[in-house]
Amino acid sequence: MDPIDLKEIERRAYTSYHEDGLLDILIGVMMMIHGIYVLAEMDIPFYIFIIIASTVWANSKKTITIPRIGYVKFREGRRSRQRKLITISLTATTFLITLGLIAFTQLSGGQRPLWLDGIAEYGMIIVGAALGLALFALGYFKDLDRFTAYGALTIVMNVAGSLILPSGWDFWQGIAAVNIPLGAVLFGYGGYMLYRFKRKYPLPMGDEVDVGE
Amino acid sequence: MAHLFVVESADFLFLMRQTGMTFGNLSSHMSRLEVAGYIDVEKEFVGKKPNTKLHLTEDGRAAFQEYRRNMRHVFGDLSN
Repeated sequence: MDPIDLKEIERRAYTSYHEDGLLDILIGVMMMIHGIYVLAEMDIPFYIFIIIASTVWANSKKTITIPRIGYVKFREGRRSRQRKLITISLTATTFLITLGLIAFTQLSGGQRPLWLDGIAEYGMIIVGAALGLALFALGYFKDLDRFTAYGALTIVMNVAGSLILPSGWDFWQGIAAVNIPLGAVLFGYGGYMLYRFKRKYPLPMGDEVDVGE
Repeated sequence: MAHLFVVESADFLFLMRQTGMTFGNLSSHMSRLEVAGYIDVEKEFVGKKPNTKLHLTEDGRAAFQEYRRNMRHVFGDLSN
């Protein structure tokens, strides 16, 4: 019997970096922006919001989290898990882009493939499931259980949304409408976590402790 | 040492947060480990703020592994 649970120590060290709720706030805000963006039919390129949000998130980590919790470099095992998450994300993105290009090519050729009609009919469920799975994967690879709950909520809300979608709305509008309250939930919980985090880890005082950045 | 064993390196504040120790208490432990050659301490400035980075040396990792083996034997004997 090993009295020292190294796996638990490492897991706690890693998850303490995400107790700040900033990731929840980032994803919540992006979901709400996406919802408003689609429903308001904005003309601004969406990637601008992604760039701004990511920059704000990175700076927040530097100014809020690290001065309170310090700096750590994790070992290879944890870093390889991160790389797996990135690999899966890139693979999924490549697959979706390829699918999009195939659809575009076929539509440009005057054909309307049957699978596209299927997606149009069940789009909310398919996209909701994809988003839910993405959140599950994030929760699994980053050891953040609450993201599993977010993933489940995403799937449930998109399925429910597909059943009560107003007539005349396409599935993108339905997803956008679901993303706003869903994003608000993530944003709200992230804000609550941030409040708790700041109370649990106040800024160190004066000369007593040196601070990592 | 367990907290340093599971990471590549960490600064003083991180170790304080993870262990729940006070500055003085942790500083005293780290000094002894440094004298024993089990940890390396790097002091640098990040901006205008001092930063102390710590990591286990190879001797430190070996010593900790030995300690764990001994503890497993002790607990194993106790349960028997």
